[in-house]
Amino acid sequence: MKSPIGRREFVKRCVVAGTGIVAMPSLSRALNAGPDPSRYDIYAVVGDRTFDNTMKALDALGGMRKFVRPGNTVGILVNSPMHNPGSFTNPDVALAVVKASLDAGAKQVFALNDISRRYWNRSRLADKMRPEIERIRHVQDMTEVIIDKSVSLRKAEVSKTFLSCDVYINIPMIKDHDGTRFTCNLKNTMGVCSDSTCRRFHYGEDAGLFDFLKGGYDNINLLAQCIADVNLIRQPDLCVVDATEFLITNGPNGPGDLRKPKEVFVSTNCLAADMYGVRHLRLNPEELPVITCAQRHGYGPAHLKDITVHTL
Amino acid sequence: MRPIPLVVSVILAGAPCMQAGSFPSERDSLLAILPSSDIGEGWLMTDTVQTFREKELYLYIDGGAELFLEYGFALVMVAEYRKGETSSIILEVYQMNDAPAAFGIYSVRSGDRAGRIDIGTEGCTDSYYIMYWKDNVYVSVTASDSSAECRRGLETIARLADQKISRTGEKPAIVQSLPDKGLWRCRYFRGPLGLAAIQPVNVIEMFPVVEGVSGTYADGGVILLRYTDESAVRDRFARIAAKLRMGGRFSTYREHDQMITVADQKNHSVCIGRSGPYIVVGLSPDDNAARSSCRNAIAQLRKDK
Repeated sequence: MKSPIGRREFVKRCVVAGTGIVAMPSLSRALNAGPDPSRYDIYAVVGDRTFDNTMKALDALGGMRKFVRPGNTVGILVNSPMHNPGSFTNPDVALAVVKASLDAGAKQVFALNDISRRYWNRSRLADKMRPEIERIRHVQDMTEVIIDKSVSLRKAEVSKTFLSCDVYINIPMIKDHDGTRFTCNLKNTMGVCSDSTCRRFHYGEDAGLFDFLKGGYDNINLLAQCIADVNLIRQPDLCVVDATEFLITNGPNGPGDLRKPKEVFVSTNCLAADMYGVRHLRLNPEELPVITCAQRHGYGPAHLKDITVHTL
Repeated sequence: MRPIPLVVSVILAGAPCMQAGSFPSERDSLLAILPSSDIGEGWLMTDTVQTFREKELYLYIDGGAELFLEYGFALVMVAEYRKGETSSIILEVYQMNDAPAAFGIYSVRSGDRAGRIDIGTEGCTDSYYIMYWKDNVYVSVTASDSSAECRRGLETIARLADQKISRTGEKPAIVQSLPDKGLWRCRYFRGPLGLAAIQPVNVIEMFPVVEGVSGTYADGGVILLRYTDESAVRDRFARIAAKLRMGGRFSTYREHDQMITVADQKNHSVCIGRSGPYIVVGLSPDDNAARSSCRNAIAQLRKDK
């Protein structure tokens, strides 16, 4: 009997064949998480001990072993590039995810974007967790994929590891953003794209030199649609969101006004997590184009009332 | 293709020096603003100053560059000062295309929670940062934490940079057109991102504008949008009216005295009028106050004319 192909093999075949991979999200959930009747549940933990709180939230969701099986490869996408207070994911959150993944038997943890050593050193746990940090690998390996059901972004150049890893964990933070008004899971996915793809988010597929030279967001709705479209390629198996300290003005880089709810929350649904997260910025999710575009793609809940929040 | 940022090497001991490049005069003048390597109290500049020019700004603040580009951005230099293992301060000196652009960026980025500080032409500070504008330069100094030693370092670096900028610069003339009485904050913009940072709504219908200013008052706000000429205003005003008549996020459309009044989703009143090359928006929780704000602003514009 012919054995069914694994997910990685499926992805490889799609990429090699140059076909779209829009089946990825459902396949991803099917293979990794199993049936999940509580897709729109959020587990939130508040307190000073960010590392421990992240572990507690993961446990509440069923533990990392629910997502990572022995021998799996794990891709983590951490909002790490900026340095001002409230502009980057607290490294303790990311370290907890790495530790939990390795404890669950992950063969390898890949950083899907390039994370600097200095980022990890911002954590007081950096020295203690040096062995785990040393096990995180980053490979600069881009490939182009066609996004079949997209509205604006027909193709994107993304990290091969993003496509091939067994488990994809998004580790964003919630914060203000000049263009989209907020950034969380959906926007963080731009982190797996090449610079040239990110620029197309701003200027469209057919942008010419003139559009590029003009600069700026000519069309915020286009940016929002492209963000929703790129998430068609693959949605996270797990979202671990840092809301411990974040910019409420002058995002994404700051400096600006900070809010410090000291909260970490987790979910298996990126849209549910984003809709819950924007409440920290006192924004109405229904007024945000990124959210409404993602809702039209059917990523998750249509209303906040569909989300169940468990505060631990 | 990914642009390559110019990394300017700086010799730690003594005055900063730089590699030859294609735009030496701009870099020279900006580099001269950076405090030298040892500023005292144990703070030392690290060994590189990063420079990002125009579109390269994406590489430094991916996702945050657009606002600067909207105002007119030329060059930024970024220097880091460190003390011990953990404390650091980042100095960012942005050369904008003109003084109004520097004022504009400062005006939308200075936070409501920040206190005033006598640095630059106008400056503000919070526990971990100082920002100010002076001439065509916008400066941001940010510490890794808000400890007392970082606070001292912040202020030292901010003042040293301030002393190197000789001219003060003028605010844009449109700022003077806002009614004075009760004005406690004004913010200047040149595009939708600037306005969206002030008024978090979908503001695309208002654009393109040449420039605009938003004034905040105890009982509401006033926004002045300047267009190329009066005919552009007539056209834009008609489009806005048509859009508002359709309802959507706004309700209770009314027209009177050549002004439109609607209510937003929070039942706040928005009154829109026009005068010459300007569209004027009055905002208030109260209907009469919004109309009165709009009328007063139009009267002020006519007086200025």
